[in-house]
Amino acid sequence: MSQSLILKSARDATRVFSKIVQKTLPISKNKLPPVPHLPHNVLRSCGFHNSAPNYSKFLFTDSHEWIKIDGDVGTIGITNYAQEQLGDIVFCELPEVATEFSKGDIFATVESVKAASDLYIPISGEVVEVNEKLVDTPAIINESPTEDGWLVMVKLTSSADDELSELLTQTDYEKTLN
Amino acid sequence: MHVIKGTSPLFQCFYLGKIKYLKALKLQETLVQWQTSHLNNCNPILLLLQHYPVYTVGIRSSVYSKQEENHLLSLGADFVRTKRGGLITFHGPGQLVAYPIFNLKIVDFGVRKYVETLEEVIINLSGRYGIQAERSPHTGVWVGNNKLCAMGINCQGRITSHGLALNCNTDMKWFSHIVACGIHGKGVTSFTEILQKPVTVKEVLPLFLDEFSRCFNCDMTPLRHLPEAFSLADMYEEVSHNKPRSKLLSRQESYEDM
Repeated sequence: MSQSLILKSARDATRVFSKIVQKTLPISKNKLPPVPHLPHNVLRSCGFHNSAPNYSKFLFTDSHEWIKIDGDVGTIGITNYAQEQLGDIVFCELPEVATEFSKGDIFATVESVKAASDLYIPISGEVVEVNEKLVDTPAIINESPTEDGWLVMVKLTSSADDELSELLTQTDYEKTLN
Repeated sequence: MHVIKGTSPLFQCFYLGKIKYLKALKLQETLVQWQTSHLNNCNPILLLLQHYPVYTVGIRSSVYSKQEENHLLSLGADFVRTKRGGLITFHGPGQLVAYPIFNLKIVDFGVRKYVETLEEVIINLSGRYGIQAERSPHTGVWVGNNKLCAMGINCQGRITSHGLALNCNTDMKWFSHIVACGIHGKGVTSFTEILQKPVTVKEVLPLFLDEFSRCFNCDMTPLRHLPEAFSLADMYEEVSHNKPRSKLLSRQESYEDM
């Protein structure tokens, strides 16, 4: 079969891959292997970048960072208000994959108008992916701060629930701007 | 040290004389930490000083190789890689360096507005000398194609550090060894060069304080001169007890290092 597949996300890839495994293995349904979980570095090398189209929570800090939760992964960036206050971003310093942070640590720095501004991570976790497009085109943060301008993805820890409960909903965050 | 709501912010102003870059950097880092740990209870600070010859670069440090660093060191200057914004610049005697260290919340500015206001301070100050200075797409203050004042800031959770460097009677030859601020095709200048008469840091200081106060809509303490051998502990005394022990800078005094 040579149909072309359009895979929109890492989740798609995992789902399709596991279906293929189930179809091709010559064993009964009762003895199926567990659904494989593709690690993020493998997905990245296959060219699948999860831009987090699906998320269960979208929360904010009062220092203008946001986080979208998808399972046990959080995608983090800065808000539209933050990018307006900063001006045109010319440089973005991101952490290495596998770096571990505690909530409140400085995880990235952006430069605009000759000002280097440190950014604080809203949640503890290990970096599983960084938005490498920002190396060449940091202006994406200004253009699309809550979508394409995401900065890092982190694998959440066991204290995620407690930490997330301290964050603001979109409505509450927007109230702080007025 | 209490910041009372409803009153103008009161900047504590210190003149440090000529000081090595790394010593001032350590001081800034300490002051930023104090500001961070006393978020609602810390007066804003303005450090004014001159540096011994030094080339510094910002967070885009990888643009400048070890080779270039060694070349600049061989000229007799220091070389320091910092966490401020902006690219490469030179600091040396005759240049007024200002480091405002405070929480932007006090003036309710974002980073962009803060930098614009610093530019406004220098533009107004230049106006007092009859010089028409202006902004450009490149942050800093320009007279035509030449940069009069360089800027490079760090902002950690809204606490600012680093700041600006205004050429009063700097020895401009030091700039010939770099592409200042990474901008090709543009030059650098100073008050002395433009006006063709010596303009010293001492002369510019009170005018700078006046414009700073006006543009940031704040009050300033009288300028206190910290002695050359001051330590971080001395600074802590000055800042935390608000009973200055250092000499007030007045027009009658003459300071050799100016």
